[in-house]
Amino acid sequence: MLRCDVSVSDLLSNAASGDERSMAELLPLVYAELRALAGSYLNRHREGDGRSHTLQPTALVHEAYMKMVDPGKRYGREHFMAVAATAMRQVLVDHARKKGTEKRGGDRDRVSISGLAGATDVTQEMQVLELHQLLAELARLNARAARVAEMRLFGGMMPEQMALVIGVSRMTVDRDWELARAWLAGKMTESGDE
Amino acid sequence: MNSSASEGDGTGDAARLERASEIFFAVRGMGLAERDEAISKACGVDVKLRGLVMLLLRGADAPMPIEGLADDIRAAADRVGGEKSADSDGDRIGNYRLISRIGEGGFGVVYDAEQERPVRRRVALKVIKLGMDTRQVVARFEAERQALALMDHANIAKVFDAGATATGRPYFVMELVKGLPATRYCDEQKLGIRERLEIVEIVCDALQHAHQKGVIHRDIKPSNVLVATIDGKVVPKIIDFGIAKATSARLTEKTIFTEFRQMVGTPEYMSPEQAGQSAEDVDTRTDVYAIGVLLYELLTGATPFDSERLRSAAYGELLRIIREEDPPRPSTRISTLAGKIGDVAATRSIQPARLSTLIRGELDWIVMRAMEKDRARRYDSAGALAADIRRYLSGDAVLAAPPSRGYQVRKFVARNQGAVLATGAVGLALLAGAIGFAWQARSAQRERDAATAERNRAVLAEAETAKRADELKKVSEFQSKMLSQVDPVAAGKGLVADVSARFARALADEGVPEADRAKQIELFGSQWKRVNATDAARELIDRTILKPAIEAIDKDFGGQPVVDAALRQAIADRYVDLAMFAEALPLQERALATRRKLLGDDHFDTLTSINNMGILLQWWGKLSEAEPYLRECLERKRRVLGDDHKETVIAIANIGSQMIYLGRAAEAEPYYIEALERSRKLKDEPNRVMIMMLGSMATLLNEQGKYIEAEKLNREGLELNRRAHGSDHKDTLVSIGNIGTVLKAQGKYAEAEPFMREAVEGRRRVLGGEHPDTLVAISEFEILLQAQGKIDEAEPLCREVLEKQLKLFGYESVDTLISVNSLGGLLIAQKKYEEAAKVMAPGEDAARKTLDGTARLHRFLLNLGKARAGMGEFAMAEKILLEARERAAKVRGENHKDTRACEKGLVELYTAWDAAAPGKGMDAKAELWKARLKAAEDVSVPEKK
Repeated sequence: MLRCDVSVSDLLSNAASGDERSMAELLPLVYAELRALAGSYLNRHREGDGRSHTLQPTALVHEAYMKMVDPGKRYGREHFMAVAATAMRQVLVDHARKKGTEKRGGDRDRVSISGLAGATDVTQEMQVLELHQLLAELARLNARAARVAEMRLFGGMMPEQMALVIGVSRMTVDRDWELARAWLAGKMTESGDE
Repeated sequence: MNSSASEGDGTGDAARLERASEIFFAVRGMGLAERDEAISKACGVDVKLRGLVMLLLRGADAPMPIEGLADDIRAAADRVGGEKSADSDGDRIGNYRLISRIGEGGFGVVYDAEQERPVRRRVALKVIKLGMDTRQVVARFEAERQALALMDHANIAKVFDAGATATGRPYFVMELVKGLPATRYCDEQKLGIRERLEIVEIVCDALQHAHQKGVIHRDIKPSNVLVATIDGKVVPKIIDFGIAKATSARLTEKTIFTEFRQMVGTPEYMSPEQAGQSAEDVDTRTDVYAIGVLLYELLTGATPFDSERLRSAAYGELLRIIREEDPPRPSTRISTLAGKIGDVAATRSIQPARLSTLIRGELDWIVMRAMEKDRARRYDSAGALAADIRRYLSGDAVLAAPPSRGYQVRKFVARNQGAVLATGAVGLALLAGAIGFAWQARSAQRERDAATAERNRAVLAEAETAKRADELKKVSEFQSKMLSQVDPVAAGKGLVADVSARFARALADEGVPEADRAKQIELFGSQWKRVNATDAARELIDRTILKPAIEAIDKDFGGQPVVDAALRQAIADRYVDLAMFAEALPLQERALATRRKLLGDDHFDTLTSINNMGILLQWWGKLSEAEPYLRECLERKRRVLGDDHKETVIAIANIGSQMIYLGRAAEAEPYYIEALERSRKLKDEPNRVMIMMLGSMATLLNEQGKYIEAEKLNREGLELNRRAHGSDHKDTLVSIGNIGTVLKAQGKYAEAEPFMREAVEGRRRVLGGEHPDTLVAISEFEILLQAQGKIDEAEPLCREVLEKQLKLFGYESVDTLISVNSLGGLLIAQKKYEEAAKVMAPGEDAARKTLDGTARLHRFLLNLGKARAGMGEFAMAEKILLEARERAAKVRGENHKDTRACEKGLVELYTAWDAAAPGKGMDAKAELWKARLKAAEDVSVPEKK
């Protein structure tokens, strides 16, 4: 487990005051923490009843936040969420890829991602991977819209929070999100039809 | 084709997406045809661009698979709670202990908090988000504090305090108000237009109070008008007074974007003057404008300017729209809602078609007056707006009306006749007023005014002087005969002609030019079409004839109980004809009791009263209470009058119908056969009883699946009825409806539709829209639409019928329960399980009682079970479905299609249950029923078509 309380808090308050570099430095820290948490979470539960396991992003965000940020100085929540969004995307993609290989190797446990009501674990993983690739494609065409979609989908951020982090108006964020959402959903139905 | 240079070229692709997104945002709100044209125009021959635009449009309507994940993550982040910890020292801010977080929006966060000193009380504490100059905010608040303290109104939430948090954010402390934003409350409670107007009226009065104390709200919008039900009363409360002003900081801001983010007010509710150059230029009429928008949204379900459009417009464009563009009138906006109109109407408990007619005209005028761009042309105060709403609600002419002569004349006519019915619709009030004088005018020319109390007394005075029994008898016969001539249809028709003629004369007298006159008369005529003359006449007959008649009987016939009973019986019969059963019952009971006592049980008049008592209860849907009377009546008539007497034949037929209503067709058969045979021997011309029996027999044959014979009898009956009474008679309409029913039963839906439509329209015309027989016709028509998959058309009809039946009968009536089940089925078909259960659950007890032993009960239970299963209440669904299956097997047989339908329901239940809770053996249960279904299908003979 990483011990990084002080540096994360400092980086966050720098990020909150607009320091781009601090944001960049935060990402690997948050990512490492989330991944470690996800691993320990799964290991912990594997020893349990041996039935279906669920990777709960909500629990991860919660724990990561509690661990990494000094309770006395919880500034820059929006910036933390923004960084966590990128990290969460990476963790979920890793998880989905790993599931893919494990399946081929014959894994007895069924691990799925919660929050995706109605879908089977296989389609959930495929959706995450597909979304990941589409987001990369979108980033080449419209970087800001892709960033907004990432913060929204993987960070659960509200328009106001995104506006604060990116430094544009709430309306610009709304518009970016609508564009990104339409593009992503359009692409996903397209590939589903083929 | 694109040049190869742009193929795979990143910049080209990015530019194309940019262009596509512009087109996407521009065309998104358009109708399909218009949209296609705009896309073609914008894309020209650029196939790739067009493809991309189409992809975006498709994507906008497609689900986004992992959006639920985002909500979860957000919830987690909220639980960790950044804001609270940052601003508060532990769980405190200043003197306040934070209890829980109750809301969040663009402005900041609201907490439920407790104040400890100087008084202990619960408050709402609102922390404003970063980015404001806290000192200025607090200073501005202090400046207005005095004025705020002066406000004392039950519909305004008090503002207690303001301050700064540890991190320097401004906060406000207010009265804690429980309630929902006005729009949400109204939709969730499905409030009708009248109730919505009443809420706005109260809000206006509260605003008027604030304005008189010198406080302007500046940010009236649904989320600042919270509504709750307190002690059964709807109580709206305006919150956030003083906050918009304190936090308005636009003059000190520099960039447009910052300015925009802090723009006071929500763009949809922002007045033109707020969108203007100078923020100081705001007065009480700004709040009047916002109330206009609120009213607009409460009426139409949409804001005047499309929210999406406002949000996607550039800042300057946004201000221009608010300042310059004229929004569509509410009724116009409704007509452009297209697919959403069904929902909008349903949440207002009204039919889609009625919604826009109701809003068109006066409500349009009121809203548009409140929302005038130039505030000098708005209502000059919130109180003036409230007063105009009150005028509308009480049927008076509204001030917002354009100065049209037609409108003023109509309102004048309505106001001066003074007769306003309790229904509330302006059109109906207008009609009733006119009927008041027209009726008086007509009855003055005819003998019918003898029905009024005065004449009653005069006739009676004569009779009492004579003191002779036979004369009294004549009096009562005369009275009864007169009462039986009271005919709402004729009255309604006569009135329309009468009033139209008067209107035309009035226009001529006023010297209106010929050309104008024709136009106004046409408009007037179209107004009249909006109301059902027959319904209005019914109300009027009750008020002007029957009620006074009862009073006269009470007063004058105390010493003549036999006459008294005869008159009461006559009035009770009129009420039953008018479907006013509750009014009929006490009269009927007293007439019967008196006759039994004085004339004996076997007297002809007593037999009539016994029969009519049974019919009253039967038509009222109280079948189990009706049956003893009907059986007693038949038994006595057979004995006293003989089997071939017309009255006996009718009594035989009545028992048959009772069995049909109870869903026991097999038991009805011997009665119907006997009644039909005996009726053929009657000497009447036309032989009304025989014609009626043809229809009844056909209904029975239809129930038994003998469609061809049924159709033949119905067509014969229709022909005879047409010859005897013409097309617009209730008996003829029964035949027409029956033919529709038979065709429908054979699956010939398209052929059935014109018959059923005619039956509905004819009955609306002849019996009125509220009459139980009309409702049955609508109900059958609606079920036909359902069978054809026209769910959208069926649902409003079904809701209309159910609402009226509930009013007439309550739940304990077969007709009501059929409608409840039908609506339940409609909702289940749309997967709205929770709503279906909500509709059906209140009828469950009544269904078990009223439908016991009939096929209708297991059909009811099947739908209820499906609804419960759809909601995931599996255990309850299982219990209900097993019961439904058992009852179906008992009533209909093991291999009947009803039984199989219940079994299918069980298979679906267990399959869903297994998916939700695997490993509990539900899959095995599903298999078991599947096997049972399969076995049943193998043995059962395909049904005859």
